[in-house]
Amino acid sequence: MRFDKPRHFRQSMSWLHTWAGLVLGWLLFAVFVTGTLAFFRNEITTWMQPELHSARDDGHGLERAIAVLARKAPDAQQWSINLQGPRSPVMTLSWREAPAADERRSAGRRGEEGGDADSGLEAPGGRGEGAREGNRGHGMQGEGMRREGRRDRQEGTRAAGMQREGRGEGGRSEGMQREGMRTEGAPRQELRAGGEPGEGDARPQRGGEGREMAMAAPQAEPPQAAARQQGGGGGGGGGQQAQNRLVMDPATGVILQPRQTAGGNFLYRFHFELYGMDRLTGRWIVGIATMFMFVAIISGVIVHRNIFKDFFTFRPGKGKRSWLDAHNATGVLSLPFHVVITFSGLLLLGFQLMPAAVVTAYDGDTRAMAQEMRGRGNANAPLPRPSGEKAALTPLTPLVAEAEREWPMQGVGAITITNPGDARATIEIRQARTEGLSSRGAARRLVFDGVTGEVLERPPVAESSAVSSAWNLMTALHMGRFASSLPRWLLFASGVLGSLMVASGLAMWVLARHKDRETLGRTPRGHRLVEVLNVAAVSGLLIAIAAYFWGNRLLPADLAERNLWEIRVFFSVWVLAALHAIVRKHKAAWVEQLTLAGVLTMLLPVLNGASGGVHLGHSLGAGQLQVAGFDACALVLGALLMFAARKVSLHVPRVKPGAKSRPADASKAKEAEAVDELVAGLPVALKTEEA
Amino acid sequence: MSTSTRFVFFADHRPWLNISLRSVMALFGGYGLASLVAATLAIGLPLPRPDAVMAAIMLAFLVHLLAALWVFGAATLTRAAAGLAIPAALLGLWLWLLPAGGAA
Amino acid sequence: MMDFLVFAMALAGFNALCVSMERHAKQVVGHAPAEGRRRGFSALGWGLLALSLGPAVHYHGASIGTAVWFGLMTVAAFIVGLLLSYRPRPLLGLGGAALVLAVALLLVV
Repeated sequence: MRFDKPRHFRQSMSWLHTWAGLVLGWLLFAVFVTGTLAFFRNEITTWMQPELHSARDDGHGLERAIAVLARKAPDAQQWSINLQGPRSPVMTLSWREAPAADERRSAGRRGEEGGDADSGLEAPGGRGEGAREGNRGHGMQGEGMRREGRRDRQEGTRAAGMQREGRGEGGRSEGMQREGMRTEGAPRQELRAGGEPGEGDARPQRGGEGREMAMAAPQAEPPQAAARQQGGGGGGGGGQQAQNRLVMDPATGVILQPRQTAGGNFLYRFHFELYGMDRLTGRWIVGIATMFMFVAIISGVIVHRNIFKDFFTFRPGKGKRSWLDAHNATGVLSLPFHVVITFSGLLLLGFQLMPAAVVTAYDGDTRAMAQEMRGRGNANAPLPRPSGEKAALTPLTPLVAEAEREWPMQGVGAITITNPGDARATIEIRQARTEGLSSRGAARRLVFDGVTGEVLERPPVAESSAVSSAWNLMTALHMGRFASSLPRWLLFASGVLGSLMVASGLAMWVLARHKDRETLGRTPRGHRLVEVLNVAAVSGLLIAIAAYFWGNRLLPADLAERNLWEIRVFFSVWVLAALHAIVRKHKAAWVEQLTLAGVLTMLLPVLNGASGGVHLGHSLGAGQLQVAGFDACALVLGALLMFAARKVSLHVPRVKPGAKSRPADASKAKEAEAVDELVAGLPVALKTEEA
Repeated sequence: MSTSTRFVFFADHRPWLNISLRSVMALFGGYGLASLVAATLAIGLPLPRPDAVMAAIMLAFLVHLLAALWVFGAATLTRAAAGLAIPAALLGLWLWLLPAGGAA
Repeated sequence: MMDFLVFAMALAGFNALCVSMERHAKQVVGHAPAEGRRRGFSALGWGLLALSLGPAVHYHGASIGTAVWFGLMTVAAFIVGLLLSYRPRPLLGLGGAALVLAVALLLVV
């Protein structure tokens, strides 16, 4: 196939599919794999903090939480409790001291000084629920802490915002709020909370987050936060526990001290902004790769003519044909997933990738758009100021029970108590999940009187317009924002299929050119490069991820900058795997690396039991499904990798390199030709020139 | 026949040059056209402004996709380029006629 | 429960579709069924797949329901495809069992 000769449209598309898929395929595989894991990033983080594994729920955690808060922060302006739930075994308690007025103002101004580097990056409709979902992670610093900082502050700052500005919902309604915008006040805290000295390169974006913050609400930064910044800067093992945030075992009321870990958040952030580079750059790179993916998927659909006829076709043990079948099957079976996840990935980065729309409509001012979108939200009445009169707080359990009755599907996620112990105390209870995807972030709330326990208001959830519903639908799906866990597992399964699709596509590029190399008698440099990159990007990444989890357990629990060491383990192992792929022969490299990845992954449950975690036998029995799910997945995926390694090791190319090709009957040869053409789609000119 | 047209015909028959030009057109031409779509529709669509912006961005990505498919699918480089240039010119005209700042 | 119903319907549906295709029918039952029967299986398969959207949307709501529907179909088709490649024979029984289960669940809920 060559473009200077007449050709069929489908041939052109085949060429496009091959090369659009190959050029950034290695990166796409990494994005797919880490993104797939990120569907379970809370569970991964829990697994990576074995200190939390033994936490239980006996139904009386709330009383214990209130007791702890009353002891630790009797004078706080606001208490927040994130309940344990299907995605986290522990309760997270945080509080917010009443800020002094002058500090409030100066902090707000500082916020506005931030650059706008990062503005408009993510979707309108923001991550309201996303961060909330994440507020179950604990004790992460560095990469992790960046988000943590936001989360744990969010509840507190939200209500404070309402109070001061009477505009409420600062962070989470349907508006334009992105995570940074939502978390008034938090960004600067996180600037230093990571305690990572070498992160100067990320400064511009962080400034940008400051700006986002300003977009949402120039907001106070309580003295507590400032103190935490410095505290966190030390990067000590218990740094995340500093001052106003605690992780509690609901059944005992014991404050847990989880180890510092980069957690599932590292994988999550890696999948859309990579690592070790400016965040904006990382997002551009991933965004461009996503566009390539989009082109590859759609051109692949065009090329693959019998999309329904070949639905179940998989002919094992037939070499190249089997690979093509596998590639088609994994692609077609979850085609809706691939299309949606790719398109929504573009949308999530849309404001950065396609700035032209905001340029003409808002003169490039994302902030103005944020404000206009927020204007649609329902403004809340300002929360009452404390009266100064003491009054006992009403028991929470009946209120939570009432909320549970109201939202049987979504459950209760978080409780915010404003002015605890005061006569004007209010208690706000929020859904753990939203009901549909189109209104993402707009979780329902119930506001109770903190003394009498009566319902004060049931703020309605604003309706979103058709366009923003479509947008939200896409992006909420991408982020797996569901009430039940089944859809998340389904997304995970589709993600695994997608990773297989990318990997089989990459492998096929090499396989399809087997005959060229045979006739040539040697491997051209370009082919060798693809071979090495395939091994390093596919099996090397899998080893690196497994090693990341091993590092989590083998590094001393009180190591300084522990989270960074975990990440260093990840990248060093990846580099070693790449070197191994260069040194070893192609097939040997595949077999050895797949075996190693399989062994490392399969042994993770053993490691978990041996290094302080709850082992599989126990976690299954005790219904600790987060930990059990991780271990079970590790077993299954590890076994699959070992199986793949065995298959590759048994594989003998039909024709040995160097030998004359065996006489095959004409029809078979013809079929092989056709496969070659389809698989390769490569211009003859390119082939010969490479030779 | 201008030199540029002659160059395009010449390039049509050079496999590497042909592919390079198509790649450049798909990447940058496609992105340019998509940006133009985003810019125009963000103020041209009869929707509330934030909705128009979101719709424009969604359509822009689809346009980039279609542009890439078109550029590689077109029979000749001239057709590939025309497929980008004509919609771009129309959109440019529309954008030019729209009131600046987008009152829509 | 509802999810099982959707899944059973999808499984039965893909089984029927599978049998409706000449090549796959040979793998499953050993010979190609008559044209009319194949068309019947095809209609049954597509019908079951389309109908399974109903309970999914009913239980999860339109947006999440559709996502769950697609996801369960992916898993069901994957299982059918895998069985077809390695153990095609029990497929028809599985499809029948899934269909019975679906009907039973439908009557229960």
